[in-house]
Amino acid sequence: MNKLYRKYLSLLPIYVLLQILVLNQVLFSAYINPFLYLLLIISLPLKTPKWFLLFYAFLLGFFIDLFSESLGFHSTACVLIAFVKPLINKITIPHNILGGMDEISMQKVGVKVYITFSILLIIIHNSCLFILEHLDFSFAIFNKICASTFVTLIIILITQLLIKQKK
Amino acid sequence: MNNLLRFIKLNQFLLLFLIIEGFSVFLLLSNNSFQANKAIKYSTQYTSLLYNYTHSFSDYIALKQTNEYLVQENSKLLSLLKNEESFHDSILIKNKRFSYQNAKVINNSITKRNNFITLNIGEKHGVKEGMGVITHNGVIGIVHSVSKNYARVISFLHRKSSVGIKLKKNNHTGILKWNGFDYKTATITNFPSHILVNKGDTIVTNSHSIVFPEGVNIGRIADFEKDEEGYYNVKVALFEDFNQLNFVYVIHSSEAIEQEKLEMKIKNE
Repeated sequence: MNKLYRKYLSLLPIYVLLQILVLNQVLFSAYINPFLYLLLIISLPLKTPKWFLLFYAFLLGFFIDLFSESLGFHSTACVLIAFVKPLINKITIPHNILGGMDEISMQKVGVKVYITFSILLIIIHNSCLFILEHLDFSFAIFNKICASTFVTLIIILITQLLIKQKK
Repeated sequence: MNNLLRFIKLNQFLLLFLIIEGFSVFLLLSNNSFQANKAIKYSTQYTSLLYNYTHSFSDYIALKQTNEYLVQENSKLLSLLKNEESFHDSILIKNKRFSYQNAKVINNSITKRNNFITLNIGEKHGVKEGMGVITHNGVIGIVHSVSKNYARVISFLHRKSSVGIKLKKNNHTGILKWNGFDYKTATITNFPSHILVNKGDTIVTNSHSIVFPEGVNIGRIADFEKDEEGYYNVKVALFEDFNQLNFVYVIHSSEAIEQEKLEMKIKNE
């Protein structure tokens, strides 16, 4: 368990720096940013202590917020998906496919399951974030949520493949 | 008491979630309050340092574009200088209300609903809250808060930003706002429909503002349509590419305080 904490806490600054220095400068079709840092929350094992899940998500969102100078937006969205993650685990990931302490990754749960699982989390995160930012709901925001989810999913899948190759 | 403890133990995940989520929402809501401003002011000092380092790399890569930009700017200034000499007699009052200070953008965002820009000059260089920021082809924003070495600017791409504008050809005024999605376009709502507008008309800042000088180029009319109340909704393509902001000018307005005082007097009566 300690190993898990150490690994994820050391990955946190790397992903935060990657997000703010590289990915926040990358734009798809004028206003879409990929949110790669969600990969950290997505890949946390099934039996992660729940308090750690929540605090970790908050910390991640908080640092992203700090650098983008908008306190509260990302942390609210991140804590929300950390809260619904156990539920979505139950719905999407079949039993006995994954040990309690295994990281959730594409090669372990299979491509289809992984995509449905992460797409649900990303869509919840993005809807929460953009609706909070714009404070209304229109077709344009729906568009933005869908496009952003798609781009984020692609980036996360690519990163998964790269991590797999290294091992 | 026992029941309460058991309830807490059973629902600890939900309770913890509610506490942390509540704290996040609290941070979000207090975003504009005094304390949050202080916190952000404090944290910008450190986050800006990081952005400063990374910019020393990207500056090197952008040297070529910067050079071209400077040459263009130089030629423009040169032509202005020439004009001024030839019309020297006819200019009775020189506009000396505004002076400009150059600054560099070290952090900028365009994808959020409310965007902010960080500049590399601050209190030490004489920047104060409420000063305007422009480039030669657009209004960029207004200084929101300053720390010792850095200034934080509310971008034009912000929910609360609006710029007083006029049509260059017939001086009709209006208010330009950003609608929150595409950083290349903004809209003028409630533009009276008796005014003749055409696609391609140039829009510049009007003379009502105390922070921006008159006649700064902003954009060109890309599209317009009549709404049900008989007003035009005008879509404006901005000249400035906010994604590539690099050098900007901070405006020191010498008579801003005087004008503000005079206008407040009327409001108070």
